[in-house]
Parts: sequence; structure tokens; C-alpha cells
Amino acid sequence: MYRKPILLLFLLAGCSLLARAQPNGMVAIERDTFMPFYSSAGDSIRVESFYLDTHPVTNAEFLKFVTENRQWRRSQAKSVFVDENYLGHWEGDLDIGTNTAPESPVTNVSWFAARAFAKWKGKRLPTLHEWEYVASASASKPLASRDRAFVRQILDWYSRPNPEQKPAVGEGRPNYHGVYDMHGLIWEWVRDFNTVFISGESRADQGELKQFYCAAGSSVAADADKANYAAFLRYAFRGSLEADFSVGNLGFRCARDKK
Amino acid sequence: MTIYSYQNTVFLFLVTAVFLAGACSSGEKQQAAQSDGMAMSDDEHAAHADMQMDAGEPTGESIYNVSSTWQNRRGESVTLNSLGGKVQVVAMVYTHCEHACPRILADMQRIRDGLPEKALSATNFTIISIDPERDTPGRLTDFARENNLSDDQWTLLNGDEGDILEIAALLGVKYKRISDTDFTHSNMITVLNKEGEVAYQRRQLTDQQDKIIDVIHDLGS
Repeated sequence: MYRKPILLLFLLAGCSLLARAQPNGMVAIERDTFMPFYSSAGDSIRVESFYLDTHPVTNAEFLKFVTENRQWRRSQAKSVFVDENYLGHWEGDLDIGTNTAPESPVTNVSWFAARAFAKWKGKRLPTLHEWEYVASASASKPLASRDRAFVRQILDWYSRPNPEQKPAVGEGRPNYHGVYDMHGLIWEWVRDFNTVFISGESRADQGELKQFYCAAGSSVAADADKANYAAFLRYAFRGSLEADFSVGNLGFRCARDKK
Repeated sequence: MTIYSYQNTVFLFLVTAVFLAGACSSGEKQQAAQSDGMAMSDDEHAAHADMQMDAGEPTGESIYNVSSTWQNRRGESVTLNSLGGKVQVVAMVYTHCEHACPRILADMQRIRDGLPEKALSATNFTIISIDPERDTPGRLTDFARENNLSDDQWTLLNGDEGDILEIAALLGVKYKRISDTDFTHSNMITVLNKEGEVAYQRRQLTDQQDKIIDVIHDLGS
């Protein structure tokens, strides 16, 4: 038992250093353009240079966060920010428990909690485009989202059931940018997840939708990119989320502006 | 709704008690809540006074739990907590919108016109811009003047993009920039009770204002 406070002290000291130093555990992603899956008629999106965490945030890291930020502990967090599953896989407010590996990615965290963690670190959540850009890199190519073998690999993972116990982060192969676990471990929150629209594709649906959305004359997700079905699944998944949801296979990583 | 918020208050009270006990023993002192916006009975006041705790802590379901700061049309810094104490009718729009936003605003004005005087005095209308670059306080002032949005009934807010996303997430409003000049966005009008809890949401444009007026009327009395 006495080991825990000492360990915590170390962790706390470490993280305050981390927060100030130049990106530790992050890689620089250089400015580039890419085509997100829904883009129509060759629209390409520019992603400005930024830093991204090489790994998803782990349970151990999130424990440090809730230790320092009482209001984000399981029993304290406001119900408007988290649903009842928040950190549901932990055994207590400050107890990850024995069924969860500390170095496995934290899940069951709401978007609000993820955002608060990022702020505490002096970081932010990556934008949808930033995340998708990095996720479109295979091990050897920066843009592989239309590469059949790569997409096949991702779909294979999507079709496998989640393991009872999640493995530690960083065990897979890094992608072209040196970033780990964009696929194959968890799904991840992005900053603007709630800007995504999955709308009906038929004209009939669109008339109905006009009552709900100001579409300003454009249909947003009409041109689904068939070659990138994996991305479609991610967009559909994000579209189904509410910001207070805590989902068992949904975690996050942080980003930071590059100035 | 009143029963619900009362329970919430009691719950908060208990949580606060546990929190204070914990905080004392570990020598930590942090995060006393700021400002008051919650109406309470004298009994509750007395109970809280014993706790040496500020009365202003928002309820668990209140969107006033956000810590973001905003600029109003006069360029003054305001927190959302300052909206507490009145029923709020909230929409997220951008003032350059030529499509649904004018209709949303027109609906809000019709709602205002449909409220009896007493309910109206307990109600405020809040417009949160999703276009912070162009909807500067100056632009919001012009927009308010053009549409006769009086300062005592209408709050127009400009904020940081991340904070706008946070409010959108809390209200369940979805929006997306689709060009340099336009956004798609939900046509949602939200009614918040005096504590800042979402009491009612109307997701689509309609000519029927009766239902939402009833809700506001009940919350305001």
C-alpha cells in the first residue's frame, strides 16, 4: 500500500515537467493536403503543421489527471459532462483496479473529460481533419487511405470483437509519421466530432432534413467515398456520439499547435 | 422540473459535505464555486450557510458548469453563469446566414411576442454565434439594431471556437463550416430553465410556437 503515494509523487512530478517541456511523446506532423473520405469533386483539405501524441492517453496518465483534478473523478464529475459509464472499468475514483493495465489506453471517457485532460496538459484534442490525415498513413506511405491492403487491414480490426483486456499502447507498428495505434486498439475522440453530418443520401430525405438543418444549399455527406469504407465507419460512429458518452472502446490522444 | 432541481440541490449539498470533509483531511483547498445565480429558499440558505459554501455552484445538469468566457455585443466579458436566474431561449446561428437563421430568429421573436408580460420579464433570449471571426461585438451590435433586439431581452455572444464547440456539444447542436462564408447547422432552439438545465428543445423549424411558449411560461412562473 505505501508504494502508491510514492509512485504518485513521481508521476505528478513527471507530468508537470512534461507539460512545460517541448513536446515530449509527440511528433511534428508537417503541413500537407489530403482528401477526406466525404470530399466531393476532388476537394482537398489542407492540414497545417501541428504536434500529435505518439500514443493514446493511458489509464495511468488519466489517473494522474483525476488525482490532480478532483472535479473529474468518477464520483465528482458533473452529470452534464459525463454519463453513468464514465471510467466505469475502474474500481474506484483513484483505483484503476486489477482488470485494467495501467499502460492500456483509457476509455469510457467523455469528450468533455478528454478535452479537460488536454487543457490540463497544455494541449488540445486533434481536429477531425488532423486525426484523419494522420490515420490515413500506413507504415510506409503518408496517404494510404485508398490503398486496398491498408484499408483491408483496418476493416479486419473493425470486424474483430474487443479483447477483454486491452493491450498496452505502442505495441503495434508505428505509421509513416511515427505515430502508434491510430488503428487496431481503440477509437478516438476528436475536437470537432460534433460537426460531422451523416445525412440520408436520397433526395426525399433531404427535404425532410431541411427542417432540421440549415444546409445552405449543399449536401454534406452525399458523396460517400466507396474506396474508403473504413473512414465511412469512423464518420458514422462519430455521428452517433454525444459529448457526454463514455464508450468502452473510445479513448483519445492530444495535439498541440506548432508555432 | 422544480422537484428535479430541488433533488439536485440536495444531492449537491451532500456531495459538498463529503467533498469538504475530504478536502480538510488532505489539506487541499480548491475550487470554491463563484457567483450566485440559483434561487434558494431561506431554509436552504441556512443549511448552506453552515457549510461556508457559496450558493452559486451550478446543478449537475446545468450547462453553466462550463468555465468559458464570452464577449457580448458591447465587448464585455461575460460567463454563461451570468445568464442564470432567467429562463433562456437559446439558438446557435451566424449573422451572415441567408438561409435558416433568419427564420430561427423570426421564430424567437414570435415566441417573445407570444409570451405574456410576466413570463417575458422572467425570460431572456440568447444567440450564440458559430462564426466568431465575423460576428465581432461590433457586428453583433449592428445585427441587434437591424433586428430590434433590445439589450434587456437579447444576449448576443461571441466566443472562442473551442468554447463554441463545447456549448454546441452540451446543447446537441451540430454545425460545420462548408465554405468561407457558410455553415450548415442544426435549426435547434433550446429552452434552459433558470438553473441552466436543458428543459426543452425544438429541433426543427415550425410555424407552431404554442408548445414552446407554454414551456417557457411554466418555467418562468
